[in-house]
Amino acid sequence: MIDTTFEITREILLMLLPIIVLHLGLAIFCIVKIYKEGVQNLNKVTWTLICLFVNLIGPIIFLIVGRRKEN
Amino acid sequence: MIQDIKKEILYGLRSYRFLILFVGFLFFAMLDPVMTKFIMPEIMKSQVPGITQEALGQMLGTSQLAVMSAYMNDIFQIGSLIIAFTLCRLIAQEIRENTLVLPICSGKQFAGIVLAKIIVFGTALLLFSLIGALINYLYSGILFSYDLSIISVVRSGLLQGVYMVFLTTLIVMWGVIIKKPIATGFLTLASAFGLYFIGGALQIDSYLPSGLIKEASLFAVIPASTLLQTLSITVGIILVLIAVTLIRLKKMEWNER
Repeated sequence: MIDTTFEITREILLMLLPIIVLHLGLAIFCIVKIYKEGVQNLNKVTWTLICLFVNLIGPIIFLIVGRRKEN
Repeated sequence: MIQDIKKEILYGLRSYRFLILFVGFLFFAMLDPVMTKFIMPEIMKSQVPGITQEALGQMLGTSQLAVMSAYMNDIFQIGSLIIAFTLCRLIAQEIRENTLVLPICSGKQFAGIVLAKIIVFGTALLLFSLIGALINYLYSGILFSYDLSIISVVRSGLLQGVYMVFLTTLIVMWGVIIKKPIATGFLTLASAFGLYFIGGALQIDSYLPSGLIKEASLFAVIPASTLLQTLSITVGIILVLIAVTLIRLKKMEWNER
């Protein structure tokens, strides 16, 4: 049986912090857009989940294909 | 021309195109060194119990050069994908929705419209490439050691940026020919990856724009003797792509039903 778990140390967390902050910032920005401007292609809940749980690529995908108003 | 450039800058800001592109570069610039330093070794240790540090180092390439080369490859592979689908609507959508008719009817030149798009988004990509390379240099330097010279990093960032200008021109050309945004994205990727693989297989990289990416990922202190040739050919191809775009636009029927 292969062990697939590994320990997240304080050092790893510190180095990941800017990426986490960037992702959360972008996710919050996108979620505000989702509920303020509406969505297309998928429903609001699905886009919210994609923005929250797909690391950085999720918000990017939403901004490219999920925004209702494409100008 | 100035008005066209202003319009494109506003479009880039309003549609969050600049934000998407910048985040794409930033994501890989920050994540690649962390992945190589912490996440990948932990995953490897849990997958292969008893693996030595030396074996890990050989497998993962734990040096600043290896990390930065991996970043350059990631930007070429996944970054190109993000760029192609972010910018695929740049001109194709305007032709498809007949909104390009308005500036043309008001006396704007095709050259001005096309050049404004390439200048604005090409310059943005050139800047993001440079900023991404510098952030990746800092991050990988902190986590490993500063083995590379800043000059070679700046040069590699700029070479990648020139390649991105070529990619932008390719998007605009396919957009004008195909007029369908998603198909434009796919064709741009097929052309970019196709040139890369043909260049690699036939060993003619120095004659193709993909040679810029290969040269950029080497981070050599002294650039290859063929670099000037590759740069000149890339600029030549960019000019040819712009010419094809303009010819296609001039021959286009705008009121077709």
